[in-house]
Amino acid sequence: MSQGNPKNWKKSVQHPSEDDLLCYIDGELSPKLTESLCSHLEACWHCRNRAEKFQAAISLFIDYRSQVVQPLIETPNNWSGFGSKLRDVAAEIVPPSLWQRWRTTLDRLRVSLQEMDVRAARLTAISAFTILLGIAGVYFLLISSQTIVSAEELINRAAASRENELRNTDQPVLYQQLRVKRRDAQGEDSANIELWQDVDNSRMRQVASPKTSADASEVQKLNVLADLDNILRANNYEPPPLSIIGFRAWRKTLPEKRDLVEEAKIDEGISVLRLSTEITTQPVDGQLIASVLVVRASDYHPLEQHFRVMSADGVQEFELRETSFAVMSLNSLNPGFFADSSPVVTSARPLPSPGQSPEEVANATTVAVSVPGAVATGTLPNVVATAELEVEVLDLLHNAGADLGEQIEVKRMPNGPVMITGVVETLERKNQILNALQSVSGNPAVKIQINTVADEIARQKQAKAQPKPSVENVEVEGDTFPAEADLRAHFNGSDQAVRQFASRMTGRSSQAMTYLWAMKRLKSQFTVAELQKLTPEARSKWLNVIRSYARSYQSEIAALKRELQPVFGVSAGAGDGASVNSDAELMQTVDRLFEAGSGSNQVVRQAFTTGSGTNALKTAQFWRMLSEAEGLAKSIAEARTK
Amino acid sequence: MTFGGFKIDLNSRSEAEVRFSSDRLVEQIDENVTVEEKITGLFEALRGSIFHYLIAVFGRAAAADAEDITQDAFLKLYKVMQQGQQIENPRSWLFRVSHNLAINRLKARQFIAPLDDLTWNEICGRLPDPGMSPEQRAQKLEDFAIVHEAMKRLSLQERQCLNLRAEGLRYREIGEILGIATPTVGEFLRRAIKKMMLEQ
Repeated sequence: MSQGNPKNWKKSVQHPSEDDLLCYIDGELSPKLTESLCSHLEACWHCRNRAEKFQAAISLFIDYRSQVVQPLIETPNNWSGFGSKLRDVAAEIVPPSLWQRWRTTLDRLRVSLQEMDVRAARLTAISAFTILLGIAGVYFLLISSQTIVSAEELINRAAASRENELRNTDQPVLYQQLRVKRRDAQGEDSANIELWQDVDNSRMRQVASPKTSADASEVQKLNVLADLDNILRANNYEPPPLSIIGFRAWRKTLPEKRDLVEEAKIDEGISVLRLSTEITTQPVDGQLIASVLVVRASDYHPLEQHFRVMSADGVQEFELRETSFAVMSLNSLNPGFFADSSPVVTSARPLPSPGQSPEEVANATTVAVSVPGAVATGTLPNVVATAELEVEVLDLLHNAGADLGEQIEVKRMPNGPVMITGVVETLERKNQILNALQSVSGNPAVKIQINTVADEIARQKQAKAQPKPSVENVEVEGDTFPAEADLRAHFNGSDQAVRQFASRMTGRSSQAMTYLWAMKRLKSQFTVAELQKLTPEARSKWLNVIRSYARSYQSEIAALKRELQPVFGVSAGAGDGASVNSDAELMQTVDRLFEAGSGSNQVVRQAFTTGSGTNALKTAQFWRMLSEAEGLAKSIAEARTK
Repeated sequence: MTFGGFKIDLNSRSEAEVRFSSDRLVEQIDENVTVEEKITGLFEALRGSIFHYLIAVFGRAAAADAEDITQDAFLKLYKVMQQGQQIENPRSWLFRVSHNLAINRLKARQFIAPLDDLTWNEICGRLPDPGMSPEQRAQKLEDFAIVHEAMKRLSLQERQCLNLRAEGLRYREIGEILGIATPTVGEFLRRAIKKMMLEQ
């Protein structure tokens, strides 16, 4: 069966070999060769004779086998015993193991692949390989993220993490907000600290933030910080408290200690690693007997630190939790920001060598800052928000739709930060707004305090002094309202249509007013002079937000007019305001629009509100006012100020 | 005989018909039947072929062993199928396993011809063929004698290939059973047939 050579017995004078003839007889040749050899046999008597001899020999063998050999072979009588043997084997078989099943599955896969064509097999193999790689990657990621490291390694990684956080900022200033709690036999007190560390110049500013606890005295809060500072210094733990350097320095001074690294989850499900270091010697008063450093498992960023201190009254516990963290450039702060602050002993940037002793650290710096003194002054640092920052905040709120109908207030304090305060309905909405403000939330010149209604009620209950908020309801059901007669005439007495129309009109008018209020608030954020000082980008953002409100108002008023006209029949035509070409004109136009819009809103509300005055919807004055407001809104929407 | 949803009367069919039926059965056995039912069905369809092959290759003296070997091969097939292995070609698999079992058990008998001369003479005396004339019968016996003589000169592999081919196995399957390349199967078959032809 030499099929390797090219064969074409049709055209060739060469005769097929005996192997080829036998393969032909046995049907083992390819269809092409079979056809070729068949053609040859039709033409070649010689080869046909050879093939017939082969066939005759085969026939003879088959006859010999069936007529001579097989009759001599006695068919076994014991075949019936096979059934019992089969049952015995079945009873002995144990179910296949997982490994055997796995192998079986692989075998099946192999067979399936062999049966596939090459391209499909390749695609399948590549897909399977990719999936396996992905699974392996995820597996190793999980393994690596979950690996418990040694205490030394954790500290080194946390130091490297801090180094990375500072690396990309020119003249980095590390900003932290820390919540400090103290628990001891007397109870619990707490304070907030804000820290700015000028890394390159080894300067630090540390102040107490406004407190949230109403009944804790200012003195107590300052004492928490002062006490902690004194304790840390006495234990070779140089401030700032939540720092890797301080922790490492303190840990190295311990002659005997016990370390424990464990995995945990803190609030919001964040995976963390906790390094607990505890002294194993007999503690003395004032000694730091244990500290726990909590770092985020994903990037080793320090989040919390706990201290246990032996005192005459028992064990005191301090807990520090980072509530805010940012790295900013020194250039973004006012030049005098660190002017009255002394150099700090440790810097935020970790030491390059973990082997450096605390003494070396101390010798490398000059003067220790008196942190309690800085706290005691209580002076806020000179964090002044720029007008551009305020516009940025307003723009972010506008994009989040958080400037309409919600009690969100943006206020830039004179020589201070931008305060964003507000109350929203739900936690979800609160998170939406906080997310919208994410890009500025790390900025120390931005203070955000958004509460939910539930938070606010709880706070007011605690304060016991807040009056209930007054809610103004527009009542369109019950008694008649001034425009009712006209509506009934128009709607042929359909009570439902009348109520729905009245409700819709007051709703539209109120919605239009929310745009005017938002516009007025935005206008009042800046004076003309301040607008002139804004950067072109900030100024453009501010103008775009104003225009956006004007367009929304236009749209709402146009719809209101379309619905009122068929019923009340008077129209002064579409408003057409003058063009606005300067900031001063824009400011004036906004004021005029607010006035005209408020007037028309009042007329609409009176006409459709039970028990209120008269129906002025048919007066030419109302329609002129409405058209004027529409025209002014158009002017603002098309304003081109310089 | 009933298994896997098929009804077959093996006794009423010729060898070729039975072989063809068994091929189809191997391919068409219902997937829903149990492994025991599958094995029982295959056993009834293929046991004769395997047993005859073993006798033809290893001689009548091995008949008792051939019976055990045949059954063992089916029991082995049952075990591997119970373990979840998929056997694509059970007939080929059974011949291969039977062949290997026989090689291990009957090494000493590999060169014994299936029929000795004494037996041959006895057969010739009582070969039934009622439809033939005396001349035709004499010619037939002469032809059979040639084949009988040729069988003595066949190598074990030639004999194996010839008998497996007579059982309807393709060259590729024979190669898998005997552990040789497919072209080699063709070569052994050609030599075996040539030996029978030379005697004519």
